[in-house]
Amino acid sequence: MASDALLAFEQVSVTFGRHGRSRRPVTALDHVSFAVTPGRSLGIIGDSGAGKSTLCRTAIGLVEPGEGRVIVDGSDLSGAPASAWQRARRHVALVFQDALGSFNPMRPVLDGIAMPLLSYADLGGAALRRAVGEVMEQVGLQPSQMTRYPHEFSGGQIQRLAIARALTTRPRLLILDEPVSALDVSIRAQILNLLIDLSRDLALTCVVISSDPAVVHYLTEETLVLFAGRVVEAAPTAALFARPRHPYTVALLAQRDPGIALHEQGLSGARAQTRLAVEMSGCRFAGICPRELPRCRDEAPEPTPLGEGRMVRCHSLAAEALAGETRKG
Amino acid sequence: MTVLGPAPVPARAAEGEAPLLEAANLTVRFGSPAGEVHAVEDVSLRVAPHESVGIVGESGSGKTVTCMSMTWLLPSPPARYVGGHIRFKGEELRRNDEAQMRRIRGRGIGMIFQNARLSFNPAYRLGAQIAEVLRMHFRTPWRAQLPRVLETLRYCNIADAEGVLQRYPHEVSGGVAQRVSIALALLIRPDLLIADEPTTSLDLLSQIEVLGLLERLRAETGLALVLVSHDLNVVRRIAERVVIMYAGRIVEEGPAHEIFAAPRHPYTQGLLASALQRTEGGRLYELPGTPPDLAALPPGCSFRARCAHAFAPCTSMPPLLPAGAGHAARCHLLAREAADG
Amino acid sequence: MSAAAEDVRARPVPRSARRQAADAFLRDRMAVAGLIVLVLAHAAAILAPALTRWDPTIGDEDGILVPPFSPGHVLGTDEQGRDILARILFGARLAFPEAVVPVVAAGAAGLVLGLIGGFFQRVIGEAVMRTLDVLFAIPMVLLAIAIATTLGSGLPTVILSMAIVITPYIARVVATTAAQQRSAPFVEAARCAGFSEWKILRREILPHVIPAVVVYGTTNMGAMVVFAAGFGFLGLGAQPPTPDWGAMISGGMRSLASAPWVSTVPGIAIVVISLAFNYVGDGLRVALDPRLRTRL
Repeated sequence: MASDALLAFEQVSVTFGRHGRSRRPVTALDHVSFAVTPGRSLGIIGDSGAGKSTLCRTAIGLVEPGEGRVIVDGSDLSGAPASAWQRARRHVALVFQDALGSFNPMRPVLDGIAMPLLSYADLGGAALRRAVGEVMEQVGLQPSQMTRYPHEFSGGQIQRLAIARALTTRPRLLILDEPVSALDVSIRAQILNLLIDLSRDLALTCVVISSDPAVVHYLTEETLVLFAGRVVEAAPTAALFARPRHPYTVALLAQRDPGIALHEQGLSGARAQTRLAVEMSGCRFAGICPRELPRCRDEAPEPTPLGEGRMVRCHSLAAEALAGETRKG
Repeated sequence: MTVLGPAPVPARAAEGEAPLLEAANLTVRFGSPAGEVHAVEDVSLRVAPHESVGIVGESGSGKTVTCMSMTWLLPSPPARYVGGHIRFKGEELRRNDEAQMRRIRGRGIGMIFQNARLSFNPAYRLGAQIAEVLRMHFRTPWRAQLPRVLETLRYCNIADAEGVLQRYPHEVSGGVAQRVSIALALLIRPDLLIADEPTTSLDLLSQIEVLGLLERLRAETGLALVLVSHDLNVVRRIAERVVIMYAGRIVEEGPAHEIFAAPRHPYTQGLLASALQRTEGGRLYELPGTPPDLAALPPGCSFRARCAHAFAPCTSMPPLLPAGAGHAARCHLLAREAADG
Repeated sequence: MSAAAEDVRARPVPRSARRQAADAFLRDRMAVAGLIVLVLAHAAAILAPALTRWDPTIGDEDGILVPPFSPGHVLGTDEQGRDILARILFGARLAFPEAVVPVVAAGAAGLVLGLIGGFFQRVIGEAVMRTLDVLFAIPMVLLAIAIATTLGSGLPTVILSMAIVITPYIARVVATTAAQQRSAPFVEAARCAGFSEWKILRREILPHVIPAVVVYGTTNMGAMVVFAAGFGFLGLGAQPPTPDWGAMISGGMRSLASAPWVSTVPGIAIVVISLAFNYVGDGLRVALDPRLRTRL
């Protein structure tokens, strides 16, 4: 694991007890590992329920991992006291998925943006307003709007405000939870460009979490594909999009390609509940997968390297890779 | 394939064929404290038998209001129908004729919505609700219907069809609920299916399944379809003809392959470029600005303020100008090009 | 980027929050009317001795049950010949404390209890909420009467028992509002920014809770006027001959057929004051919520 990582997960698992109607504990994250190094933004593609939000909240210390280590800026913060997280959050900022909801509707946006400044910098009055005005300009808004209330802004503007708040402490890593999912197509491009500009101008590295592969493709250098709490494929973004390998990734990317008929993909519609419960063994994608093997239901696949920095969790692909090696040997 | 009865006529509507559904000069407004909201202005739309039409637009473009108005589904007030006619199979749909609308809704025009789970009553099992609808339309006993119900559910990729009938809406996932609602629409054998953002609120795998199902329906039955979506990828998969809406008006319409390959309206061009992630120098193509306030539309072309090509004539609202066979765009540039020869 | 900066909806220079709230309240005609009624009624209560030459407790034996609009007695007299206008005016001196004091007291108590129950939600919070549930199970009027009979009649008793009775209701409003907001994304954002729980409570939760309490309380003041009248009617309120609106109604019951005004006039006073409180409460609801008050 790279030692200069801004953020690293080592075998992180998070389990929630008595979840939903079934009252069975579920695994939100299952032995997730990754490292984000400066300048190489990480994209995480995942569905609702894949554990994206849990991952975000674990990364900034709002959720404590049940197992594994969360390393921020070289120091292991798993189980660390709140004060240690407090110091770490100065360099790692989260932009919440619900940008509008992350501002108090009863207070002007000034108060919302200023929150980190109140904790991390001893600013008051005019200096505070100046600092808030500065970040608002950075995201393309007029400082004069800071006394308005959240509902007076459009969706795109609120997203800009949420980004502005994250920038107040001049972080090195920005975690973006579904940064554009609530936005219209034409506004979405504006925000994506803003993020590109900011990460270039401020030397920011991003972790971008999205259910839209295109967003991850556009913003990042490395990609993880998360399915039901497990990383099923990890690869450099360019390689992953050029040639997706895991059957889940293949299915996701096929949707974006009108040349591929979806109903011929062989995904099983007989999908029962996604296999989230802790006691379920085997591959989480079993039952849906078009290349399912008999052992997939009982035995969880281990991460298998496929070269070029790519890793997959798939029995079928592992067997294929092994067969290829034996042929070569 | 027996779900929809005898083998269908292959898709592809002949030019000039009598349209299945025709909306003419539809204008819908809403009262609001900020002034009257011009939600839909002068929208005319034709859907031929077996044709699939995609309506694309961002929020506030009027796409949903247009499709709700096809069966006069919007409560009035607050909606105010200022003008327009709707004809279905040559029959004029009268807005206040509830008996006629009950006959047309479901039997003639089936509808599925963004949040399928909300379109079922949470207090009854799905089976009971399907039975209720079928009893209303066919007056045959449930026992006689059941085989066809199960077959249709299975056609819609619901493996445990018997089980699903016993469930309450909250007990199934959004994806299953959406497929049940499609199955229910199919059971009534409509001539036209209107799907309003059918995949938007679903998780990724369910989106794939529902899209695949709609694709298969189109390929195998040629059921006429109006698909409303903000997602160009969805529309590109399903629609033969595409209608682009902006600020309550149709700004461009034409065959899907033409629209996606050679859009003529600057808004369509910008929308496609930004949605399909075309980049210029590391950045995405982006449309500047935001859509206008529908309660205070500026005079002239609604897109003028965001348009890189705006010129003097744009202070007046352009008509839909022809841009090829079955292709039209609401832009003065077309007139200028035609004049320049 | 510049495009978004240009997209500032043409608005006048933003006004201060207080100014916006005041403007929104003033736009609500019924609320303004209610406020005017309350101010006038309050002024009349204070200036009562100057406004009438009659003593509210001493009757004029020659003028028993004089109908309204008679010379000298604008609203008539009661069965003891006491001037009704004078009794209404002096009665208002009781009505306002009866309406306002219990609500303010219960508001303070309810705020503390509700925040413990709704925001902190630990064992003690749970205990507070369950205790309130028990209080809800007892009918409000019976509880108040039980308290009043135990403590003996009189104004302090009325105020105390009404305060005790409405505290659980206000606490529940506070607890619900606080519980709704404590898991909101903006609270999470505050936690992320390193705010302590106390700071979150003060900066993020209270701006939601206080308006809710103010609005609920103001509306309840109207109910308190009616409630206090009920006490007076039952003889549990201020003791005769002190003028009390509720007692005036019950006193007029005996002559309701022959002299309906004796009961009706205080009845109207109660309705008007209680409605006025309600409209003011409604106006405050809009004025205190930035989402409702800014007219687009």
